[in-house]
Amino acid sequence: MRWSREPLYQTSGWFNQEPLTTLDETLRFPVALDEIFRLVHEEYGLSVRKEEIKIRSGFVYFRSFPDYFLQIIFQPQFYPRILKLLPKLSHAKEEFNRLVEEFLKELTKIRQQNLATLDNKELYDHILKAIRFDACWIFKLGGGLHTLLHYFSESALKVLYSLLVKDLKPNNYSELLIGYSNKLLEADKSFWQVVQGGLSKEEYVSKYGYRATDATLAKPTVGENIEELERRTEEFRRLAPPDFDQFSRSAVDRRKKREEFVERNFRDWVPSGKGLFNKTLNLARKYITVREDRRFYYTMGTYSIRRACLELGSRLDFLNDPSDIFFVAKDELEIAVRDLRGVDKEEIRRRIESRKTKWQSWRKQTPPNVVED
Amino acid sequence: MRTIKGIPASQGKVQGRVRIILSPKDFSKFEAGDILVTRSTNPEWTSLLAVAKAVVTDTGGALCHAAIVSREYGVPAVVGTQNATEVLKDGQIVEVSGSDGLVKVLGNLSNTSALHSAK
Repeated sequence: MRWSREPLYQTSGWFNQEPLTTLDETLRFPVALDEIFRLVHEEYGLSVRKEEIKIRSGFVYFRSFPDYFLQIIFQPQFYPRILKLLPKLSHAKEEFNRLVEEFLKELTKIRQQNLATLDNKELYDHILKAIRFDACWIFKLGGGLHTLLHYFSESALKVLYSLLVKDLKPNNYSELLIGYSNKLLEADKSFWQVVQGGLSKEEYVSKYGYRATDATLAKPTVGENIEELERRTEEFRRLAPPDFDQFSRSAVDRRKKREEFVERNFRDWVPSGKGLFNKTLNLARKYITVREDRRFYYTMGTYSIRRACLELGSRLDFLNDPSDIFFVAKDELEIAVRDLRGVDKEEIRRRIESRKTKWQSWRKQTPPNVVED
Repeated sequence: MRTIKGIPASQGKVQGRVRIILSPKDFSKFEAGDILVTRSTNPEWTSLLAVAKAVVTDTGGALCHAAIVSREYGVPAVVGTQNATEVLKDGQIVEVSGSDGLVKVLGNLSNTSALHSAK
């Protein structure tokens, strides 16, 4: 059987560059996937099996891509559900904005939870809650109608561009969608403001510093390591700062030039082609910020899980360091939070060391795109 | 002349010096105007894209993070080359064509004519 990492590369490009740890693999991913698949079934009637995804040496693979994804979306029960969603189409963007507000409110609550007041068992339950919270919002922000509309409109625009515009490079359609600001660009601009002294590190960290930069819980966020942020801003200070206003003006100019190119090279003989093209373009533009903003918000929930894990790690006396918790398996953790006396401390320390060594060796590898069973 | 093929992600053709960056620890060796060659980019890295002359990645597709940010900054980009970080070496002079998805090795930094044409 063929397993591929292509779906990850096509969309995020950076997710799971670092291998997953034992805790990621035995607790975080299974619980998160259960939650996401439950919501997919509830919302769209689609059945997705965990067995279609596997983790090899810490790296995530999908079975038989793209067949696997085609199997998912060609389930007949999907289409009546989609029809039911049609009345909501016109205000999907507003719904996305409402969801973002709700997410940020809920995120603040979960981050403000005083972990010190929880006993170990409660803290473990809080970790589970934080994993489900993160997964639930990945689904809500990434799997809602707004995302379907974004995918549909951009894919349709790409097809229409290749059919209706005389251009040997069909990927040039993407230049019709540039020059719209989004949260990721805002974050970049803010970082450079820190470098230039126009924004405090604290303000930057509170807004952008707790984003996950990989799938593994073991990777600290920038906000947890202010010295690293200081080192980085110092390093960047030797580089001439980019002119973001110029970037933005230039992107708008390139977009206008592409529009003019489309005007000059449109295949006018297709009946109603222009009207259809323009409608699709307007829809794609309306949802283009959704494409990037949801990627920004996706990365914000993970820190709550990591924070709770580190708090629990600091209480488990068989760990040499709180971050060793990322190399404890789910079963071992469940025993430890019930009663530490049930843990063979020497044995578990030995296992943790062996897992860490293996993980470090995986980190040095570039995972193959495709593997066979 | 060695050529690497990838996915055309952001238009434009430039020549410049390769700088392979595999982790944020390598940021210090990056100079403005270098060609950023990396496995992939994540939100930690995009601030570097703003000062790169071009971007080349091993992984990614036309809608990946590096591709989208490069387009916004007008930086030529070739993504999904599979092995650019292994094939290219620090200091090499390359030509990146973000429109065709090609990276051509022109020579090494010690090669004066390659350096001159890159400038």
